[in-house]
Amino acid sequence: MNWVIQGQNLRKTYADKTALDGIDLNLPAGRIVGLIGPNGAGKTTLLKGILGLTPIEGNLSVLGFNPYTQRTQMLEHVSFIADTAILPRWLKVKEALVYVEGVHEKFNRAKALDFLAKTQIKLTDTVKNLSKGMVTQLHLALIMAIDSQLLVLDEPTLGLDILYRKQFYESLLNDYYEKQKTLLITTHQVEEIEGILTDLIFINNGKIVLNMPMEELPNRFTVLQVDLAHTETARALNPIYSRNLLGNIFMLFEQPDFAALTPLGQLSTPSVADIFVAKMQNSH
Amino acid sequence: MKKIITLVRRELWEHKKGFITLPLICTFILTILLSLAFIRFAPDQIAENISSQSGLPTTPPTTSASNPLSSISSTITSSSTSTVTGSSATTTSINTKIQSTSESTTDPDTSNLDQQFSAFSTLPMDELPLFSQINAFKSSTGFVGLSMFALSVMLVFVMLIVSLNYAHRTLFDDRKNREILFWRSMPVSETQNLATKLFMIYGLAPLVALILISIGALACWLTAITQVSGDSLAVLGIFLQPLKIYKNILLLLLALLPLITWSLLASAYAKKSPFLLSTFLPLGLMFADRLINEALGINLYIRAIINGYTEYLAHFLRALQNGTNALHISTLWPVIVVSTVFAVTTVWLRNNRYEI
Repeated sequence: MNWVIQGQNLRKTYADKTALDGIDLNLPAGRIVGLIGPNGAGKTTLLKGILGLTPIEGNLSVLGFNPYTQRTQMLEHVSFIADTAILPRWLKVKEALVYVEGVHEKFNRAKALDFLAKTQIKLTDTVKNLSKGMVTQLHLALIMAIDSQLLVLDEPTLGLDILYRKQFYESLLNDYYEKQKTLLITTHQVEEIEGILTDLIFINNGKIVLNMPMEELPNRFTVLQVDLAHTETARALNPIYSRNLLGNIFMLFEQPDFAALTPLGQLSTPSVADIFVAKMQNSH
Repeated sequence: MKKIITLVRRELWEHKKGFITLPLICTFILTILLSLAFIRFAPDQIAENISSQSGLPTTPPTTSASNPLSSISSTITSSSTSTVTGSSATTTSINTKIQSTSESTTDPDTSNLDQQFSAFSTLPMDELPLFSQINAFKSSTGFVGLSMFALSVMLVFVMLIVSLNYAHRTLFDDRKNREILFWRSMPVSETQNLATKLFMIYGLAPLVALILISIGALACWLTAITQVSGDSLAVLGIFLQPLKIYKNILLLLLALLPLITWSLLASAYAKKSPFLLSTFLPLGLMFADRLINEALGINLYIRAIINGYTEYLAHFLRALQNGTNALHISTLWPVIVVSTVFAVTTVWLRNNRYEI
């Protein structure tokens, strides 16, 4: 298999906190992976390690490069947004285009201009005169116009309104994504990326608590809206999470026994957000 | 190459005010002031002024080197030993004295200019305006030379301030503003980054100074040839001087290399104020060295190193001033070694210490 990221036993400790606790992570090419975790779970540390912004213990290879010692060569093939709205305030839009075009061989100016044409941003604008959302749009336009093999986005739509968020994810799929490219996205707005993900990774307390392809989700997890008469029977089947909502009881099962569950109520496929909440509670 | 050019352009976009606009404005202002001073105190103007006060013709009879104006100028120069301020009150007083002296000593029937101007030598020279006492204001060549010198001193001073400020801020501000997240998302190594910043100081700043000195001197020359007649083409030879000045600026910057790289290191390391760090850390170390030496008799050689460097700089400046060869390889190698250590540490810090 053509691996984009290969990491074994990845560890990172700060003074009194373990940010990464022996993580194994292997991502094949051509996937759109959602890395999801609560604040302080270790996802930003993991991304920083993948991007060579911080040294981490263990064996880590990104497109065959050691991200820490071969960062510059690696960045010829990897692009990322580690934080949006951090473009230099003095920079003009046209200067930003000239800069990225000058330092990155795989930058496509026409593509960036296409992205910008869908916004209200003018080439003569200076970053300090743009709203936070527009700065994010500019940053995304610059990064998405780079024809890289791996695109890492850390909270890419933070601060954007829902219209542009939808437009961004559509654009990501239609204009950027190709079979050879891999996208690694972290976000708290799980519902918005659920539809575009091919793989799902949950991380908590420095450990990966879930790593699976999205197509496995319907078979691996199910939600049972329990008939009240069968509540105790359903509870005996060890749901990983249950909640009461408007008098109805919902139970989430991992690796469910569909034959046993079907008579107990109505089954449905859970959302990523439901699974996330369940997994996070169980991993504490 | 394209990448390096882009990195330099990026620095220029960010620091255009310091490296271009400020020196340009300073050059413009100084050129205007020098030109106005020349127009006011040029030999022809002085003659005109004297003539108007004493009833003499407004135009000197000749423009050759042996004309009376030359003798006035030489008298002024040879007689003056002290500097005075050229206030208008003083000028009026002088003009009055010129007039009264002229009236009292000149025969109204004669137009002998030598006699007219000989009265000038009786004037109290310490009350004459400053500019009229400067040889440079007697000819276009002298004026262009003076202008070049003044522009050079001013621009070297400005560029040193700008460069030191730049060296202190450039690797600090991007961390402080978190812009580093964007810059580091591009395939640019910290070595390339630091090399670009050194190029701004060692390549761009002297080049801008050279260009501005030449442009300022040219403007002064144009002013001069409109004010004084003579062999205006002879002055053209002086325009080779900026190249010598350029060489001296480069030599000076080379001597300052440890200071520049130390400032860059402070900029890469500091959490709050790179300037305070780069200034007070050496002072603190010198103090600690002295205390340890006095208390325990142990010499850390920190004072010796810093004092040695300041002496080296003083020697270097004297050598530049005297026109002797300031670039001795035997004295230069410690400068190169120390600067390299600072530069390598700066790159290491940028690669290893910083965590976003």
